[in-house]
Amino acid sequence: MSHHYIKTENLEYSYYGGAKAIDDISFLITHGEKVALVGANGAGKSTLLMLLNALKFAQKGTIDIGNTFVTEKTAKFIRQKVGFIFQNSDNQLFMPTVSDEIAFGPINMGLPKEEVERRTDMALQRVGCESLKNNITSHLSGGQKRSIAIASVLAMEPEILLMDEPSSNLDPFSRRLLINQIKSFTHTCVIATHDLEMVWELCPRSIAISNGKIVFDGLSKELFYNQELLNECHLEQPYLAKIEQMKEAEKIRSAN
Amino acid sequence: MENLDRVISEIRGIETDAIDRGSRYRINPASRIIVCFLFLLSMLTFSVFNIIDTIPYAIIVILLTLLVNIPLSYIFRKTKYLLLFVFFIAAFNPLLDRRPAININGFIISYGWLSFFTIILRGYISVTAAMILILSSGFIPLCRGMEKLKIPKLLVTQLLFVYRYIIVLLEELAQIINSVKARGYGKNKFPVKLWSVFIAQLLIKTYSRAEMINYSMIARGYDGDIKTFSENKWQRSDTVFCIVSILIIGFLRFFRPFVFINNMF
Repeated sequence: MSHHYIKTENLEYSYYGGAKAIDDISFLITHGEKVALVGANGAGKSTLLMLLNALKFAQKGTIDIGNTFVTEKTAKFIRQKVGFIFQNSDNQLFMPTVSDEIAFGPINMGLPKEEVERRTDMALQRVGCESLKNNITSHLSGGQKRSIAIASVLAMEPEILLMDEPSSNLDPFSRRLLINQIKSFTHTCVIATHDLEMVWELCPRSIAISNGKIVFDGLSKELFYNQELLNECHLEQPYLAKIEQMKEAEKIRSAN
Repeated sequence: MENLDRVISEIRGIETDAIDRGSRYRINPASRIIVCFLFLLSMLTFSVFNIIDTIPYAIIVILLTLLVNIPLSYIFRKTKYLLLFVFFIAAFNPLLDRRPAININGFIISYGWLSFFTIILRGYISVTAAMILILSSGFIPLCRGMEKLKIPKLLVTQLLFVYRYIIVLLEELAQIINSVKARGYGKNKFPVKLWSVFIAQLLIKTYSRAEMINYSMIARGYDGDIKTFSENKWQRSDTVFCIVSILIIGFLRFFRPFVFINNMF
């Protein structure tokens, strides 16, 4: 079995004094899969991503990432294997220049200077932002910030990518660039999002969460055709899915 | 609100402008710190009544502001409140020390007034020198320089975090002010009770954003030490810069330009 997998078993997590944010969550995501994590605000998507990145630790259950269990001891290793792209790029970018920002992760990994420079250039090339290398991070546009945030994670050459609302606050052009970038990734990807049009294009599989529990795990298409479930998760059927469903209904009708 | 936006962009601009200014003078921040420290130390070793020998230091600082392209008016604007503090330190000297020091055609200047002007001038020189150091090096490279000079890492990291999170705090404050204005219907004064709510909200929001920034740093291997490769290595030019600067400082301190010129003629 490839090492680029995520397996969780009976995961539970509660915030101090609060209700369970994650409640008995189990799933297996295999190598190269692009899985959408969908659900209403406060459903537990971001918390789950943080657990997968060893930024928080589950109170019950286990997370196995490529044969390594997530614990405080393995956290540093897990964070190298699993890259996390945060919802708000402004929170992710903290170094003065783009090159410093992208080099931050590889330097912390203890890589030699030449390798850090190679990875920085490679990551910038992957997101098509080579020309921004010496720019000041705070002067970038929203779309550029998102690309640099992705590049800063790609430079660590993670096996798995976690993305929290990657398309939020992006204009349609930047959003399209982002979708094309994600399409080109061969990584195992977990994308927490409300952007179901993006899910329709990128993720054949979806996991829907409601009140910290998994309420659906299967083909995205199935979820998008299930209006009751969409309502339960405060989601809206994507336009493309609506057309597809109408076409299929039309086909069945004409066949009859 | 415009003021707050300006402050945020000016703090952000420290690094940007320093990159522009610094690229012209490739001098290691550590050597800049050493020179700045020696410069100020040599000035402070003069007597508090010696205003004549303090003037050359002021001239050097003015020349430096021209060299690194920082308008003096900008420095004055930034330091006016700090200088007010210096003013209060020196304000009582003319009243407490009335011994006559200089008699210019019957116009007597007391030791108190001499020390008053010297303290003000020294204060202005010190603050301007520190501003030049920060604005021409950038805050982060300066912290790197401090690390090189073996200043405790704990202190340097604290400074780096204050610099990072002050922007977060100000951005959150700007948001709160915006939302208060949007629903304040032109009202500018709010009861104290409401202000306490604003401040509590500000702290909670800042903490929450700071937590996310911290998570994003940890996710990329941050272990309490911000490492970069872009820091300058100590080069021969730094040694030359230090030697030349120390010679100039030595001349200012021991040969005293005005005494030197007076002896020449």
